[in-house]
Amino acid sequence: MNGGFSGSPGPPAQIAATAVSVSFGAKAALEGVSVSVARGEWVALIGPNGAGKTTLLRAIGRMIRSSGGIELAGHQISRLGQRKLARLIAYVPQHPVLPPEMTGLDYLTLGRTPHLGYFAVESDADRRICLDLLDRMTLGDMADRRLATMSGGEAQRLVLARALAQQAPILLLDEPTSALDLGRRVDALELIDELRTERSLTVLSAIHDLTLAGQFADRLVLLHEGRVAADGEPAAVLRDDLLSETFGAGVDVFRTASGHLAVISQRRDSGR
Amino acid sequence: MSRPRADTGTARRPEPGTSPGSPGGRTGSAANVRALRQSGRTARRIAVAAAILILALIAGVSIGPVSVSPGAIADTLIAHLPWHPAVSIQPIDAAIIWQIRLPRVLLGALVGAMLSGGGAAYQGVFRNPLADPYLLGVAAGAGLGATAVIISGGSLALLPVAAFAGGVAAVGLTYLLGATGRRIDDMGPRGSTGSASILLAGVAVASVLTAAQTYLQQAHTQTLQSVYAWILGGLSDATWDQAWMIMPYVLISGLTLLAYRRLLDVLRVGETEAATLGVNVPRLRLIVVVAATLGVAAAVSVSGLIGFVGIIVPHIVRLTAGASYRIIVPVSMIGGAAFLVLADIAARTVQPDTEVPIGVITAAIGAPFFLFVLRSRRASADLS
Repeated sequence: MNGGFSGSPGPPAQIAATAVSVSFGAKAALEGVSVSVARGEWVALIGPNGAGKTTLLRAIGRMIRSSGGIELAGHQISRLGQRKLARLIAYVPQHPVLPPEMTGLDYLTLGRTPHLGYFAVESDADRRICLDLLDRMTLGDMADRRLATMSGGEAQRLVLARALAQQAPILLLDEPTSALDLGRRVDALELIDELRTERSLTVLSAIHDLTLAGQFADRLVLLHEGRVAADGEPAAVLRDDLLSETFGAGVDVFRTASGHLAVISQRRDSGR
Repeated sequence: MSRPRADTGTARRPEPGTSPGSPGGRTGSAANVRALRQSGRTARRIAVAAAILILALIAGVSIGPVSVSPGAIADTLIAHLPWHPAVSIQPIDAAIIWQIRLPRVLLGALVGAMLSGGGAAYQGVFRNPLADPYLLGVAAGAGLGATAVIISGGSLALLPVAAFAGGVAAVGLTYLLGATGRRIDDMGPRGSTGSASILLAGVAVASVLTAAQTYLQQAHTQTLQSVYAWILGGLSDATWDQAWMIMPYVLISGLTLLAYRRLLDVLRVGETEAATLGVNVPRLRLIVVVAATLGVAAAVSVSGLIGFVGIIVPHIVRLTAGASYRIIVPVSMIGGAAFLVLADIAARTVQPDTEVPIGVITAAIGAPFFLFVLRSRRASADLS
């Protein structure tokens, strides 16, 4: 099994968002944001609550209306049909809807929807893709279990598996690990990284934990009040002055013994 | 719904996607076996529902002031085949079966199937467990149409036509008002495709049309009785002509809803996620609403406003047979047909000399039965 998109070279930018603006009523959520993500690259969106991370992901996935230009693998998203869009881009929401009575396999096969005709049901080939994914994600015994019985970590991997079942070359992840403990969080991000390499996926994710963002992403885009405040390699974005200003709290950035950047917040009254 | 777990570890197949050292274990074999069983499970549930329906149909034809035997029913059916073997039946039995009971039972089955199938479809497409087939104004529009014909003294042959037209027009109006223009639920960062606006427009349209219908009804007291009888609903005037008249709508509606049952399952994860999975949600909603409305309006046009069937049957199916719309849509249609046939038997036999309105029966039997099923099943049942 492969991602199915390993062939054609295509343009370098899989995601090219140019001067994207979104407003909800009178409130501007994004103002002229430009972000591009190259094929196979992992870019993390960071920034405080309300900075526009989720809004940008939703605009790129065409879940909300936006102005400006968004191209996915060279296609203007406004010109794509819904199915074609879903074959290009798979989305993992921060709070996925998990119908409690649905079984793991039924949930996973939803990911095959963009590949099926409107009246068709899944073929054996579709089912095989899903079962292989269950194995790959160590979810083999989840096929017949109801979602209501799954732990947070299992459900989170299942949602990721559903996105992979779409076999889209671009993955949008909105806080994919927010429900997980420290260990599961690293496991999940390692898994995403493995799959990205394995299937040459392009990943754009919103992520709260700055240290993890710096460890896993190739590049960070710092959003602040709906604009891009910084864009670059982790070492260029994870700077204490920049983060302190954006997040409105004192921040220290250290380089650990293992060579990673660690971001630690300061107490308000520490008097440093 | 616990099943025996007959895990056969022998059905393992090579898994090319799993690299030897990867954390992905080889635990999928049992899942594979179960996956193959899944389609058989759906078929079994449909078969059980179909068996219940057949028994209900036989009971519906044989039970009445004069009971007829299943053998006589079979002989009568054979006698209407083009090249049939010789059968001997009492002419009076044949007349009761063919001219009175069969059309009534068949019409009841078609009406029950459409009300339940429409209710299931509305519950799925609006992700609302309280949705019933009258949600978008079909009943109010049909009631207004029927009332207009009755008070104007028009031909009773016009009655189903006016009811059908009124029902379809009401839903069209709801859709026009609710699905176009600026949507109240379109303004948030979570995005939406507007089903709340449609539901609210449905409430408003139904209120206005019901107000008009009530006004007309009260202003013409001499026809109050017949208007009220129509609104209560029933199958006492069933004829073959009525069954044939609604058949095209029943077929179009039923087949369309069946064709979309998988997409209704996709909608269970919500409109936004369904859209990211490639579903054109507004188009899906429009097609399902049109199909359900044609079927429900056709049913209402010949039976009046029979309540409870369209909301209770899909929930009973959901609680007993499964929460997937691949099961809910077909089994609701079959089960709704059986339920209405059985309710109609009660409606015409509970009191010896007169008929009880069938809506009274569906509520009086259906609601307690529904509560019984609800309480005997998991409290965590997925009602969305």
